[in-house]
Amino acid sequence: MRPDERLSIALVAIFLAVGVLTIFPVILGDRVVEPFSELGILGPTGKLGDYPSELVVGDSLELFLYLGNHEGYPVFYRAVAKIGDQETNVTDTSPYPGEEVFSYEQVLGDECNHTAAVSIPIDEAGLNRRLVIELYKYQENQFIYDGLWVQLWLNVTEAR
Amino acid sequence: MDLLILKKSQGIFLLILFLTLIFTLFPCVNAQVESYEVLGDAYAAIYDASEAGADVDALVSRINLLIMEIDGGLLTEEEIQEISNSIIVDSQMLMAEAVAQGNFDTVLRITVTLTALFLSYIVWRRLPGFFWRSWLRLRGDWRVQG
Repeated sequence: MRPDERLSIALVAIFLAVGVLTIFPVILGDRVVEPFSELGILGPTGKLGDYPSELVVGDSLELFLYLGNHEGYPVFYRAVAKIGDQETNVTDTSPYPGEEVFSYEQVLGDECNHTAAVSIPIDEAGLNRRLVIELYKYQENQFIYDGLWVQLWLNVTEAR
Repeated sequence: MDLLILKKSQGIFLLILFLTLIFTLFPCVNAQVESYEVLGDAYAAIYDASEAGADVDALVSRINLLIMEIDGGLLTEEEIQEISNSIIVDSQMLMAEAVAQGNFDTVLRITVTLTALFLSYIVWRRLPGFFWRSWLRLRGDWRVQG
């Protein structure tokens, strides 16, 4: 192969590579590879940790709820707080069967997150009570459990 | 017999009282359910606009404000419906604009792709010749010294 042929092939290869690297992000730029949502709870100070664990009946649990949307489209979320105990475990396939004590709704745009101060009423005494917060997404005219949940363990004593 | 009639009238009275209570309480429940249906419709319109490629940030803020006001019990059912309808109408307008923009983007992408292919072909056919002609023009007057 002559040197000028080698040079022309090298030049064409470089131009093709530059062309492909320029065009593909334009064509595939908006595609979401791995969509997911986020659910979290922060303590009363707005940080991870310092979660209340000892409460008196009638108290409200002051927390911050964190929601994040990386689904590639706006999502109508519903976070539901339920009270349960040690006997029933939480799963990511079906909603927890505990009593619903609080709910919070929010629509989040894609790549957005939201932190909200919430006050969850606790009206039932008991040791090792489980406060489960589950995330639901609005789909096909109803809120469907997304499989995301967080929990706090509480000891709730009777008011004196 | 009189006692039976009295019991019947008492029963009817209790039934009316019960129904009155139910109809007094039920609108609250219905209002909440209808609110979420209304919100669902508004959200669906925002979702459609977003899928069409529209920037829905302002609409998301409006629906969140609506949720907050519903939770705070600040709006009547008519007001909720009115705000929701305005969100739906604006979503549809944004969606129409986004569809037009999307069509333009598709044409632009096709044009960019075809231009890139055409330029690649031109480069492949012409660049080596152009390069060597330029080379000769720049270095062609060199002489080998004996």
